Amino acid sequence: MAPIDLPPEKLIAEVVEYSRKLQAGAERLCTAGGLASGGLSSGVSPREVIYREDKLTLYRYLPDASASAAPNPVSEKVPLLIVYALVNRPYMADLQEDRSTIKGLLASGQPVYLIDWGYPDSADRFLTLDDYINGYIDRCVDRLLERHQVERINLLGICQGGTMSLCYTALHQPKVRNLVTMVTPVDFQTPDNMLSAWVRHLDVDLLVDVQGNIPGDFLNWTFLALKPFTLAGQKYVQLVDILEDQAQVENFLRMEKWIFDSPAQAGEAFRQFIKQFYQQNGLIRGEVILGEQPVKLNKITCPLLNIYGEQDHLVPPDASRALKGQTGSTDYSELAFPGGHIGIYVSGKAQALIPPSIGRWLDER
Amino acid sequence: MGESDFLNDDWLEAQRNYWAEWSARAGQSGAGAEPALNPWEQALNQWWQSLAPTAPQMVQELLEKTLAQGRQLFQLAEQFAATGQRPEGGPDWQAAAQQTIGDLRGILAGITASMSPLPEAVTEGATDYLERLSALPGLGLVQGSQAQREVIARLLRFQKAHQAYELFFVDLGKQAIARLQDEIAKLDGQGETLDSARALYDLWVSVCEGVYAGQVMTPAYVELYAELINSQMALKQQLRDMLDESFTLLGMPTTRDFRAQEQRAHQDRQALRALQAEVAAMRRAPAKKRAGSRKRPAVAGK
Repeated sequence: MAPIDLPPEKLIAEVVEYSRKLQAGAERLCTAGGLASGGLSSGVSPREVIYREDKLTLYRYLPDASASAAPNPVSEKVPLLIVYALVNRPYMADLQEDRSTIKGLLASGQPVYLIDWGYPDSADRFLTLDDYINGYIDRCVDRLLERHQVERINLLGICQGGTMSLCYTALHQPKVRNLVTMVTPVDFQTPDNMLSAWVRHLDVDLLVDVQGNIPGDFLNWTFLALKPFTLAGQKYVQLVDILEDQAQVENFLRMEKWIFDSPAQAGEAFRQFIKQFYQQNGLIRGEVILGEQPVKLNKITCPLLNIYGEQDHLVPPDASRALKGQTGSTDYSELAFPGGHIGIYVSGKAQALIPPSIGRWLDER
Repeated sequence: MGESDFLNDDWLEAQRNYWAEWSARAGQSGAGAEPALNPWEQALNQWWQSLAPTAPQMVQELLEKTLAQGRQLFQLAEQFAATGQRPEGGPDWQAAAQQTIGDLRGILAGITASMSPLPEAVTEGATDYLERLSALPGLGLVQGSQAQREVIARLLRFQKAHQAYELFFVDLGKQAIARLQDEIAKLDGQGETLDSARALYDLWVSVCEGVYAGQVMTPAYVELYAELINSQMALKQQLRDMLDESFTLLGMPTTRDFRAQEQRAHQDRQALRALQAEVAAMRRAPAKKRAGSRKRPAVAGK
């Protein structure tokens, strides 16, 4: 224990400083981010509802009038539909004014739409992935085709939403012009995939039969358990470091709200996802069946941009990069982001890199 | 903060006295009785109790987590510093370090707790729990039956899985402590010094995370984790089936009835969507084609 120099006077100084910051910050926490007046926002960009069905809402994000010479309610450009994961909430892509993938996409001139899956309840217990992909997503796509009078749309799938977008495109290729996948698992059994290891021997049939829908908290705790000392411990010590900075406190609180804002998962869809995708690794093996249709990645022939995080602890880079060579597309590109699963939406460098790159890539096609 | 301000002169004086006493005790061989609760913790607890009722729920939760981590941070440092001052060293810092692993166990218990938790008694005392279970009017109807023997078997399976899971974290703590000692020895070799509680805490977190990441990817842990969840679900399934049996006898709706209704509602919803799609397709079809398709069944009927 020789290299530890912690005399009492040093410790007391550190304790006093920690306590002082905590006390000063407590008041700030009570007023930050509108907490005192009832809550934090869930997304910042103006939007309108285009379509609703069951718990689903299809939003159109309004272009920034100040950035557009002649705002057009229905852009002549090909609409871009964002398909978010069923896990967590989609406002991660629109977290705050200066950290918004959606704002960046709007600024790049894309007409942006997003599917918000809402919060499934017991009425949704028997929803399958077939219902989500060949039902909900397809009907949203049809709305956009009709609204924009086009034959194909652009699709941007995020995380599990990327996996669903790959399935959708494989089954409905004529309706998809370009496909962008972000932090999307394709090979679910790479050796570094912790989630995959954990569910390997899970009796998911029993789990769903007993639980019905899978509680959001179960997923929260599971994600925190990927790095528990950091995500459930050290993070709160680091919070004390930023308590004196109002803006940083608000950022922290927004992120905290998002992390714990986790909808339940429809039981049948969860069962299928764990069994077919994680336990059987069916997507890359061409063995996933939706409804009665096999999902074959080689049926995807449109241009494809695959974006992944080099330090992603949830979807390891190799899990995403596995897409290369699996599709029938002759126009496949990759974009590696030097960050993690969340940083790819909210970090400063992501704002400068990701949305403009997507915009340019789409415009070129 | 006004009245709730805890950083006043009295507190600072108490803090100085505490550390002076602590320093004197730490220098003694065998340290003796535990010193009084740290005034930092006392003052902070009092301050927090006065603030908490007025804080929004999210802030309450956040500050409670921050306070808990602060306690870990300084307790760990306190024990390390005490060890350094004793001529023969001592195991106290290891106990403090192991405590942080114990807290982690609580965090991970959230995974099982989130699955509509079983009563705590299930993991603490099977006999008492079963006695209370048997005393329930509904379950009493099947007392002594095969179903009850099955629930006991499943309860024992879950308890075994739970204990194995607990042991895993005890072992994880030992490994992390050994790794921390190695890391500190490395620093010593490089002529570097840990000179703050925070630096020590950050090193500890980094060490724990490294050990944890290695251990939870092992086949042994993967089986352990699955067995914990699977055995919990098997037990819940049996309990539910027993309750359903009792509800049936009492003429009350069961889980099976409820699930059947959910499934029926889902099938109706799918049928409605299919009809809507068909209507939409017909509307889009040219009028001429629609007229033609209306005639066809009549022809076929002849």
